[in-house]
Amino acid sequence: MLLHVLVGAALAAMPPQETDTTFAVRAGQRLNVSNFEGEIVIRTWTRNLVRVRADDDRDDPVRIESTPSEVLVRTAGWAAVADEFDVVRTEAGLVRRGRRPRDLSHVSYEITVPETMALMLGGPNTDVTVEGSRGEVTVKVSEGDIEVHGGRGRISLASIEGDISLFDAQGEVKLFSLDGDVTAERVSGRITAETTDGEIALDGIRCTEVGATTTGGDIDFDGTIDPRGAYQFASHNGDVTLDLPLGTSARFTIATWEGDVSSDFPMTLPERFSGRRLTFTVGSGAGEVTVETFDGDIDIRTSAHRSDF
Amino acid sequence: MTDSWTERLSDYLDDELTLGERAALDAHLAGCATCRDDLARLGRVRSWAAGYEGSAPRTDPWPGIRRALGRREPQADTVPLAARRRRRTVRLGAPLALAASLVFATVSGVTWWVARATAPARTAPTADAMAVRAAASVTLHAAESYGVAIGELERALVDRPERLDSTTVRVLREKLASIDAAIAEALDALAQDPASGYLADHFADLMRRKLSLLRNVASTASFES
Repeated sequence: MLLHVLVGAALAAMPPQETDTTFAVRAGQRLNVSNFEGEIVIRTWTRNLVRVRADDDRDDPVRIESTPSEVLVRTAGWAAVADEFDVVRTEAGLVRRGRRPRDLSHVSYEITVPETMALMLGGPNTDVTVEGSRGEVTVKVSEGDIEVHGGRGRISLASIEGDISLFDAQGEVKLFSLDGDVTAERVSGRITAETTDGEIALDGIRCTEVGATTTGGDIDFDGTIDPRGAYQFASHNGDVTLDLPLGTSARFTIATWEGDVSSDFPMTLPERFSGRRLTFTVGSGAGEVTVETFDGDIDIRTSAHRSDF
Repeated sequence: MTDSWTERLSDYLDDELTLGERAALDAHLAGCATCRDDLARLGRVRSWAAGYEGSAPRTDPWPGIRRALGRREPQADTVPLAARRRRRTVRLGAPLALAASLVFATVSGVTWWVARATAPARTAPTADAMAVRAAASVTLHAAESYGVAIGELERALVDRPERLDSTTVRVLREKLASIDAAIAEALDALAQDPASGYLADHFADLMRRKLSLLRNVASTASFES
């Protein structure tokens, strides 16, 4: 008994195992980090190396596996049950889930990668931060916030319960949060942002296609309208505010059931507008902008300071 | 001939026909592809309604649609929607919420209505009637297109809590309730303005969004290794 107590005390006094390893990666390999609980922080450098640091537990050490297509980082315990944790489709097209894993450790990763390396990151209960990426980024978390600075090509960020923020990205961007706010700043390419009751804030956007949908939140858009672009903003109970440059050229289609409409661009609301769509043209009407909110206000502004977009 | 049987398809599914009526309808179905299609659509709608636990519209939009179409009362051989709704409530029983029966009755009603509305008109339809018809078609199409998939995913994700952790299920239930409330509000608005293309599209968009949400949750909760 005493021996057990002494051994237990000795083990408790030992520092946790910490992983710190650096290795070379091949071009085209993707980094795949799966974390049951904790935090994933990705930084970048110009070297063709990956450095993994983690405060993992000696009972659940980090394992690093390399295949021709990816470098996989996760703890041994999580690796043993992650597959069973998957949601899979049955023949009937349904979704099912395996048993819940137990006794998995909380791990904070700090990983430095080549700046163009593609990233696949996520886990059930983990926050994810990416800084300085110039590659594809995919993040999926059940519970946790996602913050990404950078990203090129396909960028997909999804959290069931958490906020999503994306800055300085280019490419085809998809942002989804079931229960959180979605923010994107200085993004070019194409972007879709979706949440249920959260707010959507899009600032400094230079995209040819924008889709923003929320059921109960507001939508704020500050960006340019491309002459060949299509822009759709839809809420149910939230307000939609667009802040556009002075030289905007677009055909606007707006609709609301119970909200008010205001616009810095000239437009005239018909006597019977509620439940009807109103279309009006600004400039040559090159871009297509649709704004619809069932029970919210629509405000289309133009700001002189935005004319330099 | 088809019209008279179309109105009995819901009763057929609910096993409410007499043996003689059922045999006659079976014979008719064997030779009528339109009625077979309608029967299959009704079946799909009922499958969806059986799993629907969302908010019900406070008002039934379809009397307004009917009034706008021709301002005529239902023909003697049809069953008023209100009566249908009451009967459905009893028949569907305890496992289903009142909302399910309301939605089932509403969508069954619009299935019946669209079949009637798209039949050759005795007089040229007015622009308003055409708008109502278009809006109803959009609404029905959305209910049919998304309803079954929504029902399957909702049951798979929400009704079997072992497949998702409890926090996720709680959040998912809250958000589904939020969208269901929005769907009910859209239907309420359609009751007041059945010719609104925007409202019909908005209803369709909310249904699409609900399906998208469920798919996104299923995808996000999957952690590939």
